[in-house]
Amino acid sequence: MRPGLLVLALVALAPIGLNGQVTVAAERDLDFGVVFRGVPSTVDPTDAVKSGRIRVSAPRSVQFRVSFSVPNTLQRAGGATMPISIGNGDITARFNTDSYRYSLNPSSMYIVTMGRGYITFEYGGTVSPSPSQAPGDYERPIIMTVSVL
Amino acid sequence: MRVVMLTAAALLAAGTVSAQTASITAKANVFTPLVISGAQDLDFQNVFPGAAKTVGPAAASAGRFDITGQASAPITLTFLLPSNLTNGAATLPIGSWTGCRNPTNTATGCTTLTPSATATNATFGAAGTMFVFVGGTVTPGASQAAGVYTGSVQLTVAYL
Repeated sequence: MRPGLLVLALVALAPIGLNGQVTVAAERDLDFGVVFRGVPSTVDPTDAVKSGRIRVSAPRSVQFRVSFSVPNTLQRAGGATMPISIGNGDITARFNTDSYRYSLNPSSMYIVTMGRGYITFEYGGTVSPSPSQAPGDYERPIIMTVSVL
Repeated sequence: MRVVMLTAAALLAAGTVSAQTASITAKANVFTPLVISGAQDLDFQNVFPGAAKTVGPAAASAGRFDITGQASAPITLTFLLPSNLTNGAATLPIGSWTGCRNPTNTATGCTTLTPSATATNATFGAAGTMFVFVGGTVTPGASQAAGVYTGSVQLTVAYL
């Protein structure tokens, strides 16, 4: 589904205006777990265990802008890096407990007008260890910015 | 950056009241792939009809598997073992499997294990190596046909 439809759907669900606090909570890291040299590994944003998750709660009618900052490499202590791709469709948004997920592009910015409850952003992606990738723990932050309008 | 909304311009013109950021971590743990090799055959050498012969895991002719992997990582060891060695249609019973494992290539001071189809848990040493020694007993019948009898001992290793 095109990202623009997310905005339209949320606007349609928005009842009368009421300002209030917006809460942004990091709930779960995007964790690829064990990966092997030379073998790409993908986590789907719908993965209930491995996908990353950030939840935004806001009162009805509050509008906010969402943007993403995603890494293109993970890094190990000592400086070794490993490519990671978080591209179009690797982030999804879900309104409350709806089963339907909107597919988002991290290079785009989104305007959300809240209905009731919260919206959950879930992150997937693909890491591509090289055949000579040094063993160890690799990581990098994923940042989501929510600007209340 | 592209703003996805039909009325984006008007909304952005209203200005930002406040901004919050949340950060999660993308992380992965690169493991060294498992490599296993059958380094030495379990060799009972000469045996005689009616006389069982045992080779212990610490014996010079014990079988040995060499494994490399992620240092200090837990693994499972699972064996597929023959119940007979064969020489054409003739069979020679084999059983009473014994074994041990060690992070260094010596059976001295190794940790005992019983080779079986049931997984045995183990952990790589700090160097990411493990050596598994295998012994057993063959039981030739009183009228066992002469010849060379062979069979395969398979070891499957997996990360826990």
